[in-house]
Amino acid sequence: MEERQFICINCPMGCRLTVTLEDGEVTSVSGNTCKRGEVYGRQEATAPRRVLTCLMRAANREKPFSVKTSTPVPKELLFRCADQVYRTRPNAPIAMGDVVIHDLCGTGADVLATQDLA
Amino acid sequence: MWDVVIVGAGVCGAAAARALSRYQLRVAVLEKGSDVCAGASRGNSAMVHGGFDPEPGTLKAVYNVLGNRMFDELCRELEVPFERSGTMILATSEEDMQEVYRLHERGEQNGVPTQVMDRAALLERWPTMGEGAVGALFCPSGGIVCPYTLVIAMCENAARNGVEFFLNTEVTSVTAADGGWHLETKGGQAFDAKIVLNCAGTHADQLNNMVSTDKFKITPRFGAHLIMDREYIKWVDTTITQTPTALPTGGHTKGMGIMPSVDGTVILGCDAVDYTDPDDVATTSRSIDAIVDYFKTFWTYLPISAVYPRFPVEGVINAYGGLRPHPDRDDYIIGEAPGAPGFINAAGIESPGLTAGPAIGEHLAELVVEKLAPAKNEHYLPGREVLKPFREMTQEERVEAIRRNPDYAKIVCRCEQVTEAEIRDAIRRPVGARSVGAVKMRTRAGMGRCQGGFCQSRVVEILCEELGLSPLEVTQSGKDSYILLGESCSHHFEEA
Amino acid sequence: MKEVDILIIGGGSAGMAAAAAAYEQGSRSILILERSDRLGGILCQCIHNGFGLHRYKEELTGPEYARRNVDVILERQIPYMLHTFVLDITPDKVVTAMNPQEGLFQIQAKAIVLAMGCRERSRGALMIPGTRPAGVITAGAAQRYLNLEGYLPGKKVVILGSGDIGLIMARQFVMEGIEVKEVVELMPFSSGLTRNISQCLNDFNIPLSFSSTVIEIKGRSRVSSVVVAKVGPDRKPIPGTEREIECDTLLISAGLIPENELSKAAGVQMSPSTKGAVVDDNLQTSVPGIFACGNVLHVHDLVDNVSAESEDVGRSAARYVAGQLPDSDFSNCIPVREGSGVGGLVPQFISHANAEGTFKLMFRPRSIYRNAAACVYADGTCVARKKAMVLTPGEMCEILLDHAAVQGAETVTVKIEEN
Repeated sequence: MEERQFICINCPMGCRLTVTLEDGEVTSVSGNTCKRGEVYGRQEATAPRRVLTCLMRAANREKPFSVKTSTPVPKELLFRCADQVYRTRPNAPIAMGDVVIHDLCGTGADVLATQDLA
Repeated sequence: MWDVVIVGAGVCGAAAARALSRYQLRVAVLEKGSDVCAGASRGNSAMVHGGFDPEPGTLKAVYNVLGNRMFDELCRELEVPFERSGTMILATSEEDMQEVYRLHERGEQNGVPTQVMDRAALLERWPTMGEGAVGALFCPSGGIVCPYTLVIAMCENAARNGVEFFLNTEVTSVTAADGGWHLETKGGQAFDAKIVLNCAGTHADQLNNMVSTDKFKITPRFGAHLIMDREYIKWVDTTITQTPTALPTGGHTKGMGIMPSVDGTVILGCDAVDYTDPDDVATTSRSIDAIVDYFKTFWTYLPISAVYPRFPVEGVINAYGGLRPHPDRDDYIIGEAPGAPGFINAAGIESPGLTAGPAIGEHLAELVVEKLAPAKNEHYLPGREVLKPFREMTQEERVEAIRRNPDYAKIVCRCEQVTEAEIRDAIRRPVGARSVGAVKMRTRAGMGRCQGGFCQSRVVEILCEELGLSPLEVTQSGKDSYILLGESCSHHFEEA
Repeated sequence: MKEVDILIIGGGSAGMAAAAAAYEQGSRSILILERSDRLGGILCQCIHNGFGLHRYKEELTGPEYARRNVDVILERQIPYMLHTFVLDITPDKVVTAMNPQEGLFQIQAKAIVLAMGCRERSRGALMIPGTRPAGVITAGAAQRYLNLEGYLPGKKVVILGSGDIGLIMARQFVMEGIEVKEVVELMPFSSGLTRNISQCLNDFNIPLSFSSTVIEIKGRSRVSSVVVAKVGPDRKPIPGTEREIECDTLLISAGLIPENELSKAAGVQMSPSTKGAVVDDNLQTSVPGIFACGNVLHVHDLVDNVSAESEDVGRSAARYVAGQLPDSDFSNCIPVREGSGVGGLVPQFISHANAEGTFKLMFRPRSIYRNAAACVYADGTCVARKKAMVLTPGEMCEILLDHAAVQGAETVTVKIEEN
């Protein structure tokens, strides 16, 4: 039996969740005051995910541009994902919304430009 | 071989350099800081003292009065902001009034006119002077100046007339040599000079004691100041201090005061603490608290308290510290050092040092001229070519400035209204800026309410453009004070 | 002299929303003056997401949110000037500005919208003792160096203040390989959003110390360490609790201050509580025809609210120019007072001119309250009560009110009541 604690991030309440797991399966979530909290608790305890927002460089420009992942990626792969983003240098011009990396680190998430780079 | 090497580009060294540049002499100024005016001449109250305070007959008294008289002409020629806004010693008790009378007498002995004002006289001129104000000594010849602009201006004038400046150049040894002196520096340079002028501030004793039989000790005496927002200057039209306080280790401070500054801010300070480190100008909570606590009570005496009943500590935008070079013999040490012909001291130049500096510089030059009998510099150019700050220009002047140079239409520092034209100029001038801090000293960019939060990145960019640097090479104040330490998107995660 | 109906100072989220709304309301004489090289304001450098959840029902990054607004400006062809710095505003709404193309120029406006945003509290303003080395930088300035220029402001950072900007930068620093040693917060609670504590600090095991502050900065050329101490209820350092943290950067995230020098020049009455203009329920200042919105009026935490507020102002400015909204007249308004637990209240006056419809009261709780209610009293009568499981200084509180509910009152007071 394992107990994990999280602060729910869905709303200003910041409920302190306690999630119990048995053999990696969630058996209960407590401390939440709504359904969304329970959903978050389950996800966070079994497969926490984060959207990565960071900078990226173009091969042919001095200034970097901002990017994000199209969907959240597994939290434990966050650094590996950032590493791949930094090693990738697409060519400008780049438009907001362009896919600059497909299937980042095999997560299925794409990396999208969030600004134009002329 | 140099004719004269001046150690220290503070107010005395700069004044001497300028005075010497009127002659055909090879003059070098060695400054250990990364910019001129790096020491005592920078972190002070910016006051031009009337001269009633020093003990009559002392060098302090003599040079205070001589220096004070020079300021109108000097600042007009060099276009340095200066105002004779007067100095007031405020008495809040009968005991204080005794001190006021004493200082009035002393002023007379020093040839400095002062007025003793009783409460009625005070209220006539400052109707909102606080309850406990009993009387005051008012000295109309006291004033305020921008200390670093003064030093920078004197250096620029000296430079345009042939004096060479060596920054980041710290003298480590002085030894007698054929025909004069041999100096070595931390960076491995060597200078040979017929005459050395020791204007080395808190390090002057180190230098003197290498060569002279008459050794002395300089105690670095720390003082902190607070700077208040421009909002408050409307009610601060003259410098107001309380009566001077004696110090256990000798001498006395002028006491805490509130002064308008020529830049439109208000300065509060300063305290006095003796240090051992001659370069430690860090502010301390002890000093800052001392000033804040003092003004929490002193505030009620001041005219400004009619508008701001309590001391508005939230109006403070910055704090700074400075070291006064306090000499162990309590008076200035000026002249050829015993046992060291051609090695001339201007040491222990504590308050009223900023005021006395220009006069001391002239005197040092006279001593040099006596010794070397140089020909005059027929090409000597007075003054300096300097731009009026945009923020001080009239509408018409601004339109004209923009017409001549479109860089005037590009604001870089929003709080102090400093334009790109002025920043580029600060870098291109003689003894020009090479760091963000040096740009700040010359233009005020970064000295306002936001303290560079908005403009610093653009100042860095302009420094890069003008000096061919990468942003990673730009420093706050020279040496290794790099502002930026790496590039984004360059980290490799080990686990990846 | 140029003339324009509605002059908007600032092309960020507030300015653009006001412009678009003024246009929708029917105005065709609008001009935005923006001092930087692009529209978008501070969002241009906020590359993290979390913007637009309310307004667009999507999580957008700063630049993406800004783009939505810029697109509207471009589509409607609303005039704007970049690289344009406003030097002065007079009470008769003459604006003096300059840019490299036009030089110095003046514009007579019928209405002005103040949308200049805010600046950050500096080390100097905090009077932190110590040396003045390189490496002391505010969070927004660091964000700018990193996201707009691509440079790391440091390698080993201590963050003073648990405000959102500092928390966001903590996470971004970690992703750039910068070590974030600790976040030091003066108060016993954080002023930042809980989600940021979780996702920026907890995710990376960055310690957060409450009731603590930096009491000294060390290092001659570059920061070499900071000294941190615990503080008591009086917020003064407790002797004996000092500890030194080795670092090369002190990031200061200690609060935002509305940038109101121009407002003061125009003679606008200022509020010591918000540090922004005093306004009525149309967000019109004491100078008739001058309105304020966004961070320059009061510091927001959600840009979605900035947009909504600024749209109201854009509409009001357009109505004012069309003669449909009278000059502000605080002497003929109901004053709104901050009661217990309430700070940063906006608006400070309710106009008698509006007898119908609704308006918003906004404020910041002074502390954390659980199971409490924000209550609005018209004289002695409670006319609105908004219950909340939690009220915290980090989240602006809004109450929607009917004008009818307060008409005829001498004073309106907003206070927090705990159950």
